[in-house]
Amino acid sequence: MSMIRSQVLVCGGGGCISSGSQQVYNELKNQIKRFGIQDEIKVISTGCMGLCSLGPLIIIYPEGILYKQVKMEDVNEIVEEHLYKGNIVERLLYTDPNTNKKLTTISQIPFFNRQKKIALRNVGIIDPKQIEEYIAFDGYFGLAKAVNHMTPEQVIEEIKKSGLRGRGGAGFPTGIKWAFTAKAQDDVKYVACNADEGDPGAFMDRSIIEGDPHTLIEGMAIAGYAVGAKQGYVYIRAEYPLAVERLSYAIGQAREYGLLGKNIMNKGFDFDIEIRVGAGAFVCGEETALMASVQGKRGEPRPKPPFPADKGLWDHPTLINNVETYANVPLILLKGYEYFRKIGTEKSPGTKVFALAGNVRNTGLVEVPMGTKLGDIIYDIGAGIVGDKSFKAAQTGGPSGGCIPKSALNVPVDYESLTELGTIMGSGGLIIMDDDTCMVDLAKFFLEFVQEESCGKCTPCRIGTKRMLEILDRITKGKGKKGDIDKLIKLGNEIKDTALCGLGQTAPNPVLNTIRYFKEEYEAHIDYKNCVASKCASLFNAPCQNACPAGVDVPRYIEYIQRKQFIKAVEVIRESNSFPAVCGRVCNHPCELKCQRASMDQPIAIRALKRFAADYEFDHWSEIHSNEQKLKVKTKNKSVAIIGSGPAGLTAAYYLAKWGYRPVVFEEQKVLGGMLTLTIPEYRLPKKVLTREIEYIISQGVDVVTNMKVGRDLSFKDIRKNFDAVFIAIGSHKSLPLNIPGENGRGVISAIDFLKDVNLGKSVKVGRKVVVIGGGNSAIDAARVAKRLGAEEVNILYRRTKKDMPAENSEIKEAEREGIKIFTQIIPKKILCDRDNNVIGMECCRMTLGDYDKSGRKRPIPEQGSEYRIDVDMVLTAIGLFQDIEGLDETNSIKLGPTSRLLIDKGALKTSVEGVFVGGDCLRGPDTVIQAIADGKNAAYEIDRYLGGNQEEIDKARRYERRYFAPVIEKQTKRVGDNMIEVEQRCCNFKEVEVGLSEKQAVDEALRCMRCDVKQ
Amino acid sequence: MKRFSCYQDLKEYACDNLNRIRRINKDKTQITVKYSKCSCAAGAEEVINVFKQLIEENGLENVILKFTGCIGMCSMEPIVEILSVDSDKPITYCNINGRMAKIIFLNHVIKGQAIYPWMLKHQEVTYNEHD
Repeated sequence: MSMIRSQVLVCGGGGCISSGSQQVYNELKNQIKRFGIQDEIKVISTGCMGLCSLGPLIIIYPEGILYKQVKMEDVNEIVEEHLYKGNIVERLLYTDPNTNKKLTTISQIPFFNRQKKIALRNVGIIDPKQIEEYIAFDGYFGLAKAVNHMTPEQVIEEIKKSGLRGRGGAGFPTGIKWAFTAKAQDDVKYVACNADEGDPGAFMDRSIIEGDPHTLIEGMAIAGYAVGAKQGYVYIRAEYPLAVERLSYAIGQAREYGLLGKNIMNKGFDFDIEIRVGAGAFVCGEETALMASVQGKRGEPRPKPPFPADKGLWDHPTLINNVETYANVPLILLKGYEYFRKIGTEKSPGTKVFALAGNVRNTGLVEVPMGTKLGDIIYDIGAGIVGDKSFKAAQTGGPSGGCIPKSALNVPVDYESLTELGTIMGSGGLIIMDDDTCMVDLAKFFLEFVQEESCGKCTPCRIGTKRMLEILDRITKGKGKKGDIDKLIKLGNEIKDTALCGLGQTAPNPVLNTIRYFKEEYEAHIDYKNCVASKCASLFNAPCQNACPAGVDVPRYIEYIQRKQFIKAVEVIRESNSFPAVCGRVCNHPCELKCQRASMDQPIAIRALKRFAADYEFDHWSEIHSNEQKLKVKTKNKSVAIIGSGPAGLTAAYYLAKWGYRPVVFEEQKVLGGMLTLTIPEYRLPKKVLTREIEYIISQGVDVVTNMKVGRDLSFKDIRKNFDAVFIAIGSHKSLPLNIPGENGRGVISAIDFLKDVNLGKSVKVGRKVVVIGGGNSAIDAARVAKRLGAEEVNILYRRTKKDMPAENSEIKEAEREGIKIFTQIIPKKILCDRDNNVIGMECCRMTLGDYDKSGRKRPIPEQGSEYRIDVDMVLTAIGLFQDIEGLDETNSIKLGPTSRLLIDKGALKTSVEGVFVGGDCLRGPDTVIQAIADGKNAAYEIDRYLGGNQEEIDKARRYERRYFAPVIEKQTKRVGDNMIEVEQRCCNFKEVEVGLSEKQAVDEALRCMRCDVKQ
Repeated sequence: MKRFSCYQDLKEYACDNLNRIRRINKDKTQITVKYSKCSCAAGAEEVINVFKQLIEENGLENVILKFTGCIGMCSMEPIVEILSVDSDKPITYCNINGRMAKIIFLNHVIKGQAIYPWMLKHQEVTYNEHD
């Protein structure tokens, strides 16, 4: 098992490189290999750390130690002493070692200090094999107090008052259960403990028994005293050998001390415990099935009543509780019910242990007071989601529970609130899932589990779950039918009402609950055969293609790059995306996020490969396109008006022209390209590349009219009259105002207007000290442009935290390398102007983080009294854009459909007016280039269908042979690096920052593809 | 078998027992391995074997090896605590493997030099950048 223990960050800033950090980096890698610890240590080259005078700098995480002026000959010492042996190399330390060496005790770590341990109070602290240690921590005080000073009724009363509820999942009040058993008339009674723990992912019972077995023994003995039982049984699964061993040992020790057996504490109370080892069937966690199994019968449930409190083991009254419930009992007697009631919520006092698992950084067993916010468990104790992914849902209660969506992160976790959300507390499994999880697939997984574990005694559970599973199975295979969702809900509710035992009654929960919160995902599977999480493999060729909004056939063009047929590769891209060179530069590449290669080493550099192919075509343009035979398509005598020439409009025009329509593009500006031309800076997307790409689209037979604003120069009515169909793609250009005083001062400009002016070649004067407000890509673009135009100091202010910034990570990183500083959790309060209304400063306010909002991020709240002033002479605002459809349609006949960002709901591209379609940013609000392209293409299909064509069917019916061109590289191979020009070369110019790949780099990178599309 | 009528006696007897053991161990360095079935899966057994072997090889009588249950930090397993004679606070190491156990033993247990970089810290910072 390889596990990265340390990360070594080597400064790769210009200053450090000139003092030799590149050599240090290489030497580090060599030395680490020499010591054989390359699987434990990761070396990373970072942007400038800012302490250039002390370079080359190295930081070693997680301890955060900074070494300065590291030379080649020091590397050996750092690797040998620090990384291999763990000694800090004092002579190279930057900070005072004393401040660094402060020990953190366990209680200071957020993982622990948010926890409150009751059931787990001794686990991990005492030696489970020494009863003396347990007693030294006040163990068996509760039992002694009960038998010496309390009547059984008083004990039950104490438990009732404490409000303790069953920790096995259902949350039945423990005191009442005890009272029932105590009331039952019989000479022989039993106490049973459910340690079967069959929920996948839950292991708190095992941990308690392995770490603190005496607490269970004491809890059971107290229960025996209270209900009048002399014998206890612990039903534990055979998969827990260590727990069985330690519990048996502990029982022996307790007998030795006279705490089990006859006449306990000389008070005439007899109680003993026996262990019953079960074979680990899930149904044996159900109390009646468990009791059958304890008696040596087949583990099958029976109808209730009679409840175990009346007729349990061998038909005698039996008290049955879960391990964690018993573990709480000794402390309630020791500290009193008042102490217990103070923890947790009114209706659910105390704590709950959760087995935190899934995509969180800190996985483990955590005990928190009831009522702790789900978000706090995930983000404070769990330290957030692993990697760059975002939180999607949390699953509680195992196969009997359901999911909590991100809109419920503020919900205090207790029995009632979870039931309200349609799930259950269950035994405490808490699986955190990121957006790579398909909810249909998840429901199928749990149903499969229940289906296999169903004992088969009752029909609803045996056959009903089978039928549900069949329906889910066909949905995930793309064979779902209309009405399947309703059928699942109906079946699920019937099984809930009619199944014999808890297993069957809760089995449909995961399905019903995911339908409740993620219905659109089910619908996407059924209606569009689309799995957003790229999990249901029969619905797509490869995850990368599935993740691309435009559906570009990534593996096919990568294969052409492997074959060195680069032109063919570009042709494949153009089938679905008319802007290969643009997307090869500025796409946010959702494809790479889903690349399966990431599970092995790193995702394929898909964007860079696309760029390489497009650039190759660019370099060989004349030979390819000079005597190109235009494909003869039958011209259709139908015309389409396209309003707006951004990526959406031009894409629609491109495809419509190719299919024989006559599209006419109307553009308000004097240049074509919309946001691509107006706002993306030259250093990211050079004009000549964009122009060539647009010219190619026009050459397919697109007419363009520039300087023509529909609604002003030409009425929308006339367009409707003269064209067979209309596509509105006017984008979203208007900046949201800051709504603070001083906003109209001279020097406050919206970032979009600023970028437009620069791109249109107007003379733009930047200030000396520029502040950009916002955290999106336009904020970063504006900051980097301002820096290039000569601003001395450029700072970005953002109101949330850095990891919440919507801008792309690589962009943020490059901006910081260029010397732009990003300040987070800050909001402007007032812009200060002088007498001539020139901006001279700004009043800012710090933000603290409050509750979670609907997006699953913490809401920033202004911190009272934290206002401060900064000097600034130019403010660029980039806090959001909105669409302005007013004035376009003078009759106001268009009502826009609801926006849907999650799914490619093709129906949403139609407006309320027949023959008028809409797409791109003006439909969705500011979104990515590739989404606009996808809308353009989908609108083209929609328009084609409206005008009587069937292009979509033709394209869909096309089949390609998919086989391996080269064997899959199974060895870990590094992803090709981003080739960037040095920071020094970027100053005061708009040279393209990223340099494309070389042919060899591209082919090698393409060969890393695992070809998920080849199904064998 | 003992029998106690009141809790006071029970506690005194147990604490006496414990103190006897503790007195014997007073001048001993204690190595505590957080040991449960899940720690085993993360490699705790290898760590235990290394400690056992080193104690034996060096013929050390003033070092004892103890076990407790797990403290719930699955992502940090195997976890080891060292309590030196001259210190009242144990030092916790996480993500230990056999090689590291050996180095901890030779430096911390024998020479008394704690190894700071391997101690338990909150690892919130993770870097996913491509190098």
